[in-house]
Parts: sequence; C-alpha cells; structure tokens
Amino acid sequence: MTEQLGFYFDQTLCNGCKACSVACKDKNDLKVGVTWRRVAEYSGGTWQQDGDTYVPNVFTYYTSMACNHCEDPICVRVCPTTATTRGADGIVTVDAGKCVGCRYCEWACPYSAPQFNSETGHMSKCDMCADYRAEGQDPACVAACPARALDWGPIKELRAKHGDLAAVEPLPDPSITRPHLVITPHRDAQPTGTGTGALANPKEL
Amino acid sequence: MGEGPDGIEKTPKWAASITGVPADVITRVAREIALSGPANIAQGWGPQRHANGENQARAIYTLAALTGNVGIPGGGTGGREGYYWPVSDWFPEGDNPVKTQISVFGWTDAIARGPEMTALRDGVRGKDKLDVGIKFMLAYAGNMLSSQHADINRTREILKDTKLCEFIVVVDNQMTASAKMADLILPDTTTAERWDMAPSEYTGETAYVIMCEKAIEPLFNSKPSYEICTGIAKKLGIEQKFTEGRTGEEWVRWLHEKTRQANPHFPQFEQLREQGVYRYHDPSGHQVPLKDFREDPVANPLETPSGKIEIFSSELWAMSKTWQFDNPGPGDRITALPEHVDTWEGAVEARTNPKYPLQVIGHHFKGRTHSTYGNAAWPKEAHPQKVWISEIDAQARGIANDDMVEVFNDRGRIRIPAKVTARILPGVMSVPQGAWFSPDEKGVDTGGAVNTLTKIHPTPISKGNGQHTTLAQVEKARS
Repeated sequence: MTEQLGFYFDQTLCNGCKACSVACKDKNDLKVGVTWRRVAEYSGGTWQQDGDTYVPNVFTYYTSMACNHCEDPICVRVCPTTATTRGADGIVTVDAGKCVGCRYCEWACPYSAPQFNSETGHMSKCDMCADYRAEGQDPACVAACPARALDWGPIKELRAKHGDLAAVEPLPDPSITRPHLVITPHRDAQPTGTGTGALANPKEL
Repeated sequence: MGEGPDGIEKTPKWAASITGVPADVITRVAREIALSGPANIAQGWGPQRHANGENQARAIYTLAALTGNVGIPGGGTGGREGYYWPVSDWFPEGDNPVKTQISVFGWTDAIARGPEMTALRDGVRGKDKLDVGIKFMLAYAGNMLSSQHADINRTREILKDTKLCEFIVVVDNQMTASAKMADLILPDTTTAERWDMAPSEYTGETAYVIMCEKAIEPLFNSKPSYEICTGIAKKLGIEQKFTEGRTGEEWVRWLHEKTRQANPHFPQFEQLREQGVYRYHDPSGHQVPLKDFREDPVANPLETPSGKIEIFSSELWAMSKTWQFDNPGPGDRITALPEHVDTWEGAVEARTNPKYPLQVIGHHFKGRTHSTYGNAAWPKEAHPQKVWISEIDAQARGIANDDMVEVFNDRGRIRIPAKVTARILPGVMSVPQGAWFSPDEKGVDTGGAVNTLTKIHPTPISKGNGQHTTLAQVEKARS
C-alpha cells in the first residue's frame, strides 16, 4: 500500500522569515497574489504601566502553512467537476483540464490552500513538489527553511516521531478535514478556539 | 552617590523613569549580573546610533569592566563579538594619497558647507579644516543618496543643487532611489554574472569562503564593476597598473592560489568550485578578548594614555574642554565619564513634546538586507513595509491594524500601513529601515523610508549617525 504523506512543522524554530513561502513561489513561478505556502503571525498580550515604566507580558509565534493534503479534503467534496482529487499517496491535486475556476474549493478550504490563478482561470495548489520528490529531493519549502522547521514524509512516521497535534491558534479545528499535518507547538502556542491573541497579519494570508 | 555636578543620585528609581524599565527589574538584573559568575556583556550596533550614542556604548563597556567580566572565559569586554578573521586574500585596495578624513555621516555637510568644517567642530581628521567641499561623488552598491542617509528631504535638496556637488556617478545593479539622483549610471552586474570569492564575517572561531562562480553572461549592457574600473583606467592610461594584467576571473584564481600557498589546507580551485563552500577553524581555538591584559596589564597595556581601561577618559576630558558646538542642544556634550545625557528628541523630551510625542526607531527588517531587495516583488509581498505601533498609541488615534497611516515630523512625512501590535513599547514606533524613498506629488514618501523622518544631527564625539533618536506623530491617512 502506498504511504500517505504529510507535512511536519516545528513551531519552536520558526521566526516568520517566509523563506518557505518565497521558495515555493520561485519554484512554481507564482505571481504576486498567488501564494501556496503562507505564514501566519499570531500575537497577543499586554503592557502593565506603572508611572513612566512598562512591563511587557507579550507573546508571538508563527505558523507556516501550505496544503495539508487532508484525509477528508473538503476541496474534493465541493468540487462540482471532479477536477480536485486525492491520489493514492494522499496528495490532493487539481486537474486543470477539468477545473472551471468556480473557486468553491477556495471558499471551502479552512486553510485557503487552493488559490485561484487569474491568468489561467484555474485553481492552483501545492502538490508537495511531486517532481522534486520523484527525483529524491525535498519539497522546495522544506529545503529552503534556514531554521529546518519544516519536514515531510509518511504521516504515520511523522506522527510516531512527533505526535498527533495538528492545530494551534490560529489554525481551524482539525476535525473539519483531518489534515496530514503534525506540529510541535511553540511554548506560547494557544489551543485552537480558545486563544487570547489575534491573527496579526491577515492581509498576508 | 549624588556628588556629581548635577547632584542627582543615580539610583534604579532615577533610571526607571528615563528608561521605562521598572526599578525592581533594574535591581534584579544588576544582582544577576553581579552574582551569577561570568556574564557575557556584549552590545550590538544600535546603542551608538542614538543622539549622544557614544555614552551609551561606553556605558556598556563600563558595565563589563565594573562587574569584572573583561578578559575571562564566558565574560566579555562589553563590545561587539569578535571572530576569526578569514585567511583568504583580498583584492588589493591601493593606497589613498588623501589623508584627510571626515565622519561617514558628514558627507552631506561636506557637500553643503565643506570649507566651514573643522577638526574641533566637525571631527575633521588629518587637517584643521577642509579646504574644499565634495564636488564629485561615486556611489557604489548603496542607497545612500536617497534612502540610507538621515533626513532624505534635506539630502535631496543638497544633491539637487548642482553648484555644490557637480557630478554624481552611481554604480549599481538596480534602479535604486539613489540611482535616480545620479548624473551618470554605470550598470553593474549581479553576483551571478561575475567571479568572486566571498569570505565570512561574525562566525566565532570558524571561517569560510564561498566560491561565487559566474553562472551567466552579464545581462543587457551591464558590466562587472571591475571591468567598469578597467575601462576607466584605460582612458586614464593606467590600465596595466590597475589590472596587473588580470581579468576578474584571473584575479579570483590568483588570490585563491596565493591563499592556498600560505594556507595549504585550502582546497584546490577546481575542488572549491565543486564543493562551493569551504569551512575552516581558528587553529588557536576560541579566543578570550583582553585575556593577556587581564593576566598581566603591565606587560600588555591597552592603547589608552594610561594603558588601562579608562572609565574616566582623559582624552575625552581634554576634548570636552576644546571641542566646539554650534548652537548646542541637549545631548551635544562630551563627558569624560559615560554619563546619561538627556538629548534632543530623546525619551525624556518625548513626554513633553505635544507635537511629536512618539519615539521612532528603524529596526533591521526580514524582508530586505538594509535597502537591498527593497524593490523585489516577492519579498515585498511577503514582508510589506509597515510602521509598528503599540495598541495603546494606535487606539488613542483611532488607528486599527493595517490602516493606512501617515507618520510625520517637521522633516518629512511617510504613508504606509500600520502594524498595530503588542510587540512594541507604548510611546515608540518602528519604521523598518531600508525601504526605498518614493515621493508622491506632494512629497509624501509612499515607500516608507525611515530616514524621511530622521535628523542629520551628528553625535558629539564620532560625529556619527544618531538616527534612532527621532520624534514624530502618527495619524490615520485621509483618503
């Protein structure tokens, strides 16, 4: 049986440099506005003022996120033309020959993974660099990370090694799509749905 | 305490009000440094880039000395970390026959009022005064004319006056904001279009060299700067003297061979091309700076008049008596001890300045290296230029995250989105340094260069840049 693949993200190492995101755009020649891997900044806390002095109680962490090649991909379910499918290795792809660019998948996906390419009129998305993997190379984002915060592999192995956590704020409830994602959380990471901070860079996602 | 000329006891409570750090935190950190054995006390290159920044920098050295951390493993001098200097050879720089020097920060003054600049007032070195101002300027691989020097609007006014600096040549591989100010642009190549060998910096006891192999022919009509200089040397009749008969690639091969002969561990040229990076280590291992001085200060004196660490500097004491300041403002003071000095547009002035109550700094930004790549579409999309504002200051002005705002003072005005965040101290804004100046028809900088706001006022001793001392106001952009 073909192994199902997934991503691993070590949030303790990520400093939000976005080398992953830019490497993905470079490899896939994505124009400004189409970004398959994005990085969320989640931030919160307060400053305690006493006279002229302040004491910070502040936190921030980053989450690098592409397609999670979910077990129950909502993008596949909502696609009216069967253009979006999930392969034997769990990788979700779009068949441009069938895609009519209706953007239902974009609206449905809680991770905003499928992105509309206005030049082709079709949806586009991460395939975990299928061509690179076929040549024995890492996906572009994994290879580019200067902090080595990203990895990929059979999801079973990733879970055995790093655990089952697939969501912290600001990520959605993993029960929606069962993402093939494993996260080692930042020390300040807050549980999905109960966070005290806010998404700091909504326009960059 | 309290016996100095100002009669003020320098207690943690006194420092708390100036720094914004609570007195109990200052006391706790002092105890930790004093009681925890060796403390590595180091400073980056931010402290001195403030008004009267020399005293801040010297205060950090003094802290290292007072706490006994100089010259011991795990300690530090209070300075920036040192590193193993790479052994690879450099392209010879030649000898500059002109020995007169000015501070790097003084170049616009040297254009505007060169012959007025003196040793005692402007820090001219090697001469009592400048005889002439700068009339010709070659700006290579920088963005100093219009993004990276203080008070951009003033700088541009000075550069536009062709009676002052008569001829400006810019050599760059991008059409920078500075290149647009040039009389003549010589298009340089990128590193992928020429041969080079790049050594390491700030790498501890390690060093490396990167083989920068020419990957493609120069695009369009650009030329490597070495070939540009060779062409100029030819016109001046000194081509052979300049090139020593070598092309750019031959220089790299020759410097490599020279390096390898002196350091037999270096790989052969072809092997270095193959492996790309060669890493090596300091044969003497990790270094402890001023260890010799600590162990035997008599045999290993420092380069100070007394040979000792001079917390009270006799040289600065003399300078404080002789150096002159035109219309001195707060902060224009040389002190023999590294005292705290309230300065122009400093933290204390901010509290009583109703017009411009917010301090502005310009942090190094992950979307650029200084101003390099400030025009590249993907990094700009990944890291848009925004002004960091605390939630408290933003709320008081009706500013929400990602609102378009204008930051301004009497020197200029920028328009960029606000990053409203808990990550910056209330009362302080940060405009990431290095953005390219891009004025609209009203002169508002829509690129968001922090230097549209900064002051040209030099620091008192080095006449260096105090650009992290700036006051401004912010408001929501109309329309």
